[in-house]
Amino acid sequence: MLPFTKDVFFRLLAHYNAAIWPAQIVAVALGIVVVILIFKPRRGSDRFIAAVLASAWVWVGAVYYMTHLVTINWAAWASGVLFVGQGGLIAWTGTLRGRIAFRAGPDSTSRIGLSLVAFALLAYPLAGSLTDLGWSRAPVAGIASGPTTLLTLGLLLLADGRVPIRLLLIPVLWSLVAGAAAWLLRLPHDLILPVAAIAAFWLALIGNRRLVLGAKKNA
Amino acid sequence: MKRNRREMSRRAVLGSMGAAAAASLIGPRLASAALEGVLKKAIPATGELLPAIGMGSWITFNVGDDSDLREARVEVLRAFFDQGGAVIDSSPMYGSSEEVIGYCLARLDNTQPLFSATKVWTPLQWHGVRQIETSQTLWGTARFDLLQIHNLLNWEGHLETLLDWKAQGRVRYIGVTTSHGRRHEDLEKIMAAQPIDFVQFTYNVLDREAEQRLLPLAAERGLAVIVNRPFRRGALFDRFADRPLPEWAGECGCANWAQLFLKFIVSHPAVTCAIPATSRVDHMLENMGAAYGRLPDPNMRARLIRYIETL
Repeated sequence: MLPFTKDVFFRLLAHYNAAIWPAQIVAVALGIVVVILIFKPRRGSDRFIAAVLASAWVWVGAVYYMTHLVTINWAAWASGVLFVGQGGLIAWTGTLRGRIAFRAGPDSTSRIGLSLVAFALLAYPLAGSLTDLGWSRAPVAGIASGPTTLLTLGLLLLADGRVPIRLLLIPVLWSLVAGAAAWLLRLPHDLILPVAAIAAFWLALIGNRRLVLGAKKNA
Repeated sequence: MKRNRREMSRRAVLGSMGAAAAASLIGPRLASAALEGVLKKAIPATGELLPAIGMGSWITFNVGDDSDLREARVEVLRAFFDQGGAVIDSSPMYGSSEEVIGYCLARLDNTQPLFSATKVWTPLQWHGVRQIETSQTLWGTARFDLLQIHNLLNWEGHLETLLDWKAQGRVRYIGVTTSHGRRHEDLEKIMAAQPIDFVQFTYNVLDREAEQRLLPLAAERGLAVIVNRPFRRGALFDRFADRPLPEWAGECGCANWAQLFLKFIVSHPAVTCAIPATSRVDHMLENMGAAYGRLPDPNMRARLIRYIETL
């Protein structure tokens, strides 16, 4: 059970969006750059995409959860720690060690990954605005937890080679929690989170297993 | 929360022409003249009288830094005091509620007595002390009237602290809480054996399990009883607000369902105070209307139970 009402939560989202303006524009611009780099990779673009993603998680954790939402929900502090931790994991794996390459392939996993990226960048903010939240509370990928998580799930499904499962754990866990909160607050657009997380996790496991079996067969 | 005001029958209107209805209809200034008639019940340990209707703050006062919503809560609290309310209950678990209560109290030039009640809610005994001190700062009070152990969390450790604080005069009363019918057996053991003054649990017209053991035990042990979730977190209104108020509601000064539900609770001899929570002034006025006029007698209480069971 949540310790605040939907009305109070929505007002907090509006105040958060107003307080961080124009961070939304920067977030949208970075999202567009990420999509361009997926289709037209350049030298260092994978590390750059990972850095953008890591920054988004750290921002949402430190600014949204630990600074704003924590004023009405003490448990937001724990979510903030998880988000900052996930940002650190992505930065370590993708930016510092360069272990992830983001590629849009012809396979179904890639197509689903791209769909999630598109949903996170376009449909999610639109759906949120049109249903309950309104434009002042539009959830933008990079600054809001829901679309940032979907963007991450989508990008990880685009990983060239094995999907790093450890990078999926926090997004999947958080999506399940967010799904429960969405149910309580009656936020229909957030109900996609647990569905997308379970699907992404399953696809990642299947894809990784195929790669292992394929490698054994070739050996 | 669905909470419709319904048209009253003529009989109900005539019957509720006492201070209860007057207080909720004529506004704070005139209502303050009626404060003399506010229903009070005694704390068994000392005989101190408390208004039978208090105020909870779960969810309703958790508005964070939102200045508009904070100002709206100031008006809710103003209405509460204007109608003779005194007992305000909160907890560190309730997000920003304690901070918002402190904000509201600082903005009110309230001359009515406040009975401040909060809780300690942490698994660590040493942290409990820091938590209570933080609560004092948030409320802007040097001494709470009542400190309670929230949901029995580490009750052994915190009871040690609270007894020590009480001995030092740093708190007037101490108690233990639980809610929505959980851990009644554990609560019963504490009530039977520990030197506490207050106990808080859930009791309402539908959740009457407390009548079997907890309420009789509280009476036997001389414990004051605070009742939480008097409207079952609004579910009673969802279920009954569209149904007709019984014709005889006016006989015990009830002009609406809220007052009937509250009067059912505080008319139990062992109950000291009920703490409905609201974020709206009109609902506060309705709630506080239950602090005036006649209480239902045992026959009327039984009649209410029979009535709602037919709905």
